[in-house]
Amino acid sequence: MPDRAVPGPVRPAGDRPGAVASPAADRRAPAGDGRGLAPIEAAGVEWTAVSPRLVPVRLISKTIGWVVWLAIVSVPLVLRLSGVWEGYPGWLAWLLPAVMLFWAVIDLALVPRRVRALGYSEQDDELLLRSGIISRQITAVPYGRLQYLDVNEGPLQRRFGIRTLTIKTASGSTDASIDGIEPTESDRLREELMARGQARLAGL
Amino acid sequence: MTPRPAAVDGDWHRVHPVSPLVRGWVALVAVLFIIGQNAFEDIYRAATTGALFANTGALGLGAAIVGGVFLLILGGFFLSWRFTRYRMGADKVEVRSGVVFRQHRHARLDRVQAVDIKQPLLARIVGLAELKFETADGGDSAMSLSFLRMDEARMLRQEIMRRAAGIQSGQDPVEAAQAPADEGPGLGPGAADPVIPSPPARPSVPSAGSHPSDAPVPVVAAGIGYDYEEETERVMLRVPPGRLIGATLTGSGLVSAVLVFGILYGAGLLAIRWWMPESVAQEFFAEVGSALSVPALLGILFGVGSSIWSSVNGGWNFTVASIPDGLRLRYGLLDTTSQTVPPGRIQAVKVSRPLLWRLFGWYRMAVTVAGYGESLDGTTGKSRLLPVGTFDDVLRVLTVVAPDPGVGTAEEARDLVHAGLDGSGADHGFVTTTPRMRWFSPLVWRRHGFRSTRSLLMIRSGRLNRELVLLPHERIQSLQLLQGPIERWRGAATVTFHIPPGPISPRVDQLDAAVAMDLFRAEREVAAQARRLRDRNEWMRPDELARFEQRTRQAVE
Repeated sequence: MPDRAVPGPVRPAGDRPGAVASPAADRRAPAGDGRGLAPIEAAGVEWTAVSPRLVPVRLISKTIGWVVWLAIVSVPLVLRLSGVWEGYPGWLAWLLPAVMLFWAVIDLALVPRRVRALGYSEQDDELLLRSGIISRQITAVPYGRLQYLDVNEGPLQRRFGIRTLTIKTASGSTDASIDGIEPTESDRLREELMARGQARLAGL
Repeated sequence: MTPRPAAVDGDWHRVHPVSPLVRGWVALVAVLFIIGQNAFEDIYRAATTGALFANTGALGLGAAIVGGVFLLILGGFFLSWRFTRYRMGADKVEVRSGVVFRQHRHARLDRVQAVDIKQPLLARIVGLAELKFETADGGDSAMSLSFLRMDEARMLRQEIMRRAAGIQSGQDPVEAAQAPADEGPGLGPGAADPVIPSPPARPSVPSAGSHPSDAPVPVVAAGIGYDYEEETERVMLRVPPGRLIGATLTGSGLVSAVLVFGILYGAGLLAIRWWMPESVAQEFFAEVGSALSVPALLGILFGVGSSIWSSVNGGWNFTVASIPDGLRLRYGLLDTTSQTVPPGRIQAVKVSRPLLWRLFGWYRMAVTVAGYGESLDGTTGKSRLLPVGTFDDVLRVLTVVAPDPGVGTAEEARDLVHAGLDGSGADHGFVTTTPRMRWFSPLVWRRHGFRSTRSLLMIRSGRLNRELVLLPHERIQSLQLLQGPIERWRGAATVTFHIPPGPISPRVDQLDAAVAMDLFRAEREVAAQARRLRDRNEWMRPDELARFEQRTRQAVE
């Protein structure tokens, strides 16, 4: 890692001390021929975790979303129970909200692990981002490709003191955003990325 | 209009006065038609009832209104012409337009990706042309100047390309273009080679023998008193009309649509015939069948016909020529377009072959250039590089758009492209989908794969419709390594490469996870290095290039 202009806080990530190892490292020893079957991993990269305060933010916003969905799929059930729509099949009226509730619980239960799986790492030439526990992704964005950079902060995020940083390249398919970084860190990262982007500006 | 060198002298100029007429002639004709028809009916009725002369006042009023509307439209045209002006500065082009809502648009020349000349039918008849610039924002054309005289448009295009390429021209147009302006037309074929300086001079992929039209075709703009000369261009290939029509008819989308429709239609008819009682079936065929099927058939035929027409109209006389700036594509039956594809702006190239084209040995090519924007599959519009061509045609175009395949000899390059299009398994160094995933892609697991050369990443895919993507390492914007649950179970992973929007989205599916990780790491390193060494934007001006080099040095230290 190159020297940082402004030393930013390298936070412990949630329950783990120091920079987190990849979630793959402590689970699932490689099986079979030892090559290939191991989960994907960027070798020798130290990841910086995002703020654990992202967990309540995501829990709250997801809960709101799920409540709205539950309310929508529960409309037939309410109509049937109140006797307005007698002909609606009872099993379907109960099944839909039940399935939705099941999904919602699983989704909400996975939030802390999903947040722990998020991470980023500043390399010499590029920014690495990782996400996902079931479907994993590692994205590499070379600094020179940076076209512009967005920092977003919603009301809920502001309440918990975190922000979202999005990096745009000339490719529309680049999907690089870091959710849940603290304001000081996001300022540092923004300055750093802009400076590096300038230095390595490569056009198209 | 001012004399010849006017367009590039740095002053404000207007487009050609008849431009609004050419642009708005449909509206004008429609208005005239409606008014004329009404007036004619009125006059006819008046004349037949004998009231014509009793009513001259009303008639005069009508004529006055017609005349007034006509004058208003013409006045509008005049104003819109009067208020549309352009200026070509040293480093930018500006266009002012709008009477009430004014617009003043600047485009930096060093950000211009390509300049095209377009001629709609009417403009073509009166000898005018539209000049369009593309910048990298991916939307519509950043700017268009419509309409200019054809020679003026050509001259402006050449000047813009030159200035975009960093040559301060106008002072030394002859040297700048490296074109022997004093020799003029009528060069022998022997003099052709020194004329074309940059891209085709690297014969890494063989030109596959001499082509009948390899002789240079110098086009001299009718510039009088100004030594501008259209760039010498060498026609590389021309798509014969027969092949274009055949390719359109057998191109996969159309054929599959007709086949699906035919099968459904036939199956429906047979089902009615067999499973319905005799009387019902007869009744159906007598009434419903004839009533429903004929319009439906006509509708389908109309759709198919118009799609064939648009493809034939758009690809008619498709000509690929090499010019000092890159490739010049010319095409169109009614509306003609002359498009310049600068090799320095090409992000990726795709060669593909629909199933039925295998019978004829045909291929099509598409290209991603930032600014061309999204295109469905690169078979229409600007992303199309070659609507249909033989393997030799493909190689010939590749010599310009991907001049350095990054392997040893020309023979190897040829074999490699061939393996990418038709090979399967591990031939020629291709790495394919891991055998552990073969049950999830039984047909294509030996086709899906990649080969990395010194300069290119070649990605091949598809068994029935075959495809080969050529992606220069230094053009990768960002990349992603993915692993879904099934891939994780089988020890596989996918690598996706992000490039500017266009018909190509390169990805290598379901590689062995270790191989995918290696590719991901290698591509990150190679791309970073290639960019540092090579991506000094060929179109930068010298001072910009110097600044860029300095910054790169600082960054490296």
